[in-house]
Amino acid sequence: MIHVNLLPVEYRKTESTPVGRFLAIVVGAVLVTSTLVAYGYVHYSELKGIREVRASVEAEFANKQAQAQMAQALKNEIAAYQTRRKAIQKIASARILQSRKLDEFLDIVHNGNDPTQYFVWLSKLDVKPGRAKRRGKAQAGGSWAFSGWAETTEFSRVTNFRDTLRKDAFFDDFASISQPNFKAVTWDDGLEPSEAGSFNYGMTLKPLGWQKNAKAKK
Amino acid sequence: MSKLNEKQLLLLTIGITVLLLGGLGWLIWSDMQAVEEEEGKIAQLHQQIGAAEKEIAKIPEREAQVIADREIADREVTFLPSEDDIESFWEVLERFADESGVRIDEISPSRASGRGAKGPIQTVSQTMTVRGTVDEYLRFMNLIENYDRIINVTEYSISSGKKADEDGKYRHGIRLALSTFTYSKRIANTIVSIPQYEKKRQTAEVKRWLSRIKIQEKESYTLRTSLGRRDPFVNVRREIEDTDGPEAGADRERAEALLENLTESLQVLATGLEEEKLLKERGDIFRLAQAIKENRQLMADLVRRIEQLRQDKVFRDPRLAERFRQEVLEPFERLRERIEAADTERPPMSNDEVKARFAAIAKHFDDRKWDEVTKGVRNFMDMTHDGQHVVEEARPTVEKITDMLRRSGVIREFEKRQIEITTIIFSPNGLSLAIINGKSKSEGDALDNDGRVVIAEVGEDYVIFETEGVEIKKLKGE
Repeated sequence: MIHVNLLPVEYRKTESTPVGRFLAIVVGAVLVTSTLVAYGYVHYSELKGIREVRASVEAEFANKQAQAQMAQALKNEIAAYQTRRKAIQKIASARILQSRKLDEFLDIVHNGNDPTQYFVWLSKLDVKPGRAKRRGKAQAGGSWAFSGWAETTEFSRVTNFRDTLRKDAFFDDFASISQPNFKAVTWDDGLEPSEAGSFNYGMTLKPLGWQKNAKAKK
Repeated sequence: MSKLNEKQLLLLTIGITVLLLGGLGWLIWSDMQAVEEEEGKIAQLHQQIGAAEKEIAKIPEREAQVIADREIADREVTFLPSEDDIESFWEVLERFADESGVRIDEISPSRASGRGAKGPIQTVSQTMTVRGTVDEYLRFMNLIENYDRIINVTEYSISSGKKADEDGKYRHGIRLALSTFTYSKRIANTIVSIPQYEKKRQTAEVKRWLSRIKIQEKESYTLRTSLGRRDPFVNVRREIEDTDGPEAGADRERAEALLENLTESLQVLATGLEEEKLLKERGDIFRLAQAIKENRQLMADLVRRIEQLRQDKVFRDPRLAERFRQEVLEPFERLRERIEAADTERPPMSNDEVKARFAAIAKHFDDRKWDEVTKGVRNFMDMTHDGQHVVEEARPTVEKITDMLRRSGVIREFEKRQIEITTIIFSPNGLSLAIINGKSKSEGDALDNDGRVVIAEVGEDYVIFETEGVEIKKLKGE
């Protein structure tokens, strides 16, 4: 069926956006605009603001960090001095004055040129430092080994010499001395004396710094 | 679009709205996420700032400690050679050999260590083979062990000499291992420039740290008198002597020559002691110090020689023995007593005298005559047994004298550096700049990478540098 609108043009009903669509557009526009405003607020106010705060905190941190690095560098320098100080103390305290020990030893051997107790002459003296078998401190401060002859073939002369060594202050730095040994020797070469007793001794030094340790124990 | 019906258009409108809302919602959500992330970062930064502030709070105490460490550093390492002066180690050994009379046969680096492991202190080891009497060797070892810089004798062996040398002495074969220690002047990778160093140096906090630092002293030993002591490494077995043969004649000639030589030395010593007395009366303290030193050295040498002759029984002939007693031993004892008396009589140096010494050295210091400063300080030390033989109240001045030597050393080292100040942009109220060696520097900057020298002040036509606690002024274009 065909509908014909016979009304004049000015009376005809004008075509307009349907209400439903119009409402949808209006509501949509309001919602989109509000969301856009919200986005603008979050993006340009909140986010920008907090980024500025972060930049300022970062600048503050960079400044503090530079100062903290200075504090750390000072700490490192202090540590370096302390390490060096300890190393120096170790060097100076772990030192045996060999000239003192030899000087004392020579006095004992000479024995005031009194041959009544003993009269010895030496062929060899070996002084060696203490060596740790494994990592760590050496158990002994070193060793002395010497050999020579006593003027007579009397065994007691060699033991007298050993006793004098042990009783002298020189021996304070030592932990032990080997047992006495003696072998009578005779020569037929026209030199005097023609007979003597050969001997050798080994002595072990106490560990380095024993005086300090002894004081600490007291 | 015109083909769409109303329902479709409505759906399209709603769809577009939803899409736009969804997109914007996503943007808002991602921004919120970013905000949250930023907040997290800020919180983390605040934590780091808190930790940094804790470190920063320790700066004043650490500065005080570092200043104390730097101030005392030179004294702490006083007996360690620096890397620069380790080269003199061998020269020192040669000098001591010469002084003691031992003959060096061989010096070689020790296989055991060489320049040792990395660390603040490094070991330099040597092995030596020398020949000498036991007395010469003992003196050599003692000179080594008493040397200003630490040298340790780690091991040695003495094998008795089988035959006497041409001069009649029995020299033994001696092998010894030595080690010395060296340190690097560069203490840490970064040397912090401490602002207002000079001012802070005077604070109680620095002094408190200084008082806590114990300076390790190096032990030394003075040899006992060895007069009359037999060399136990000399084989005592002898042939029955023939005093009338031609060999005996040669021995007598040699013994007479030795006697004459000793008599001459005694005369030299007697003259030296006269001169010492004269200088003392005149108050010529500089030359007096030198004379005292030389006379004591000559005395020590005579003690050694006489003792050796006694040991070797060179004067077996009764006539020679008598001459030895009359011409050598008796005058020798008299001279020795005279020296002992002079040493005990000499009072400690007075405060005024120490101050006068200080003023003289300070003048050389101001005139930048560094050799004179060194000479003056050494002379003073010789006179006063290393600054010990002074009255108690003069001790602070002695410290100043010692410090002057240190400072002159620092300035000398500084002057070795090539430093050229070409331009100065001086700003009385702002940051002044100086172009030094082509680089722009301001106060607090380190001169170069080692950080040992910092710019303390930039003036109108000068720059003040600071190194090892010493401030050094340098004019532009100087």
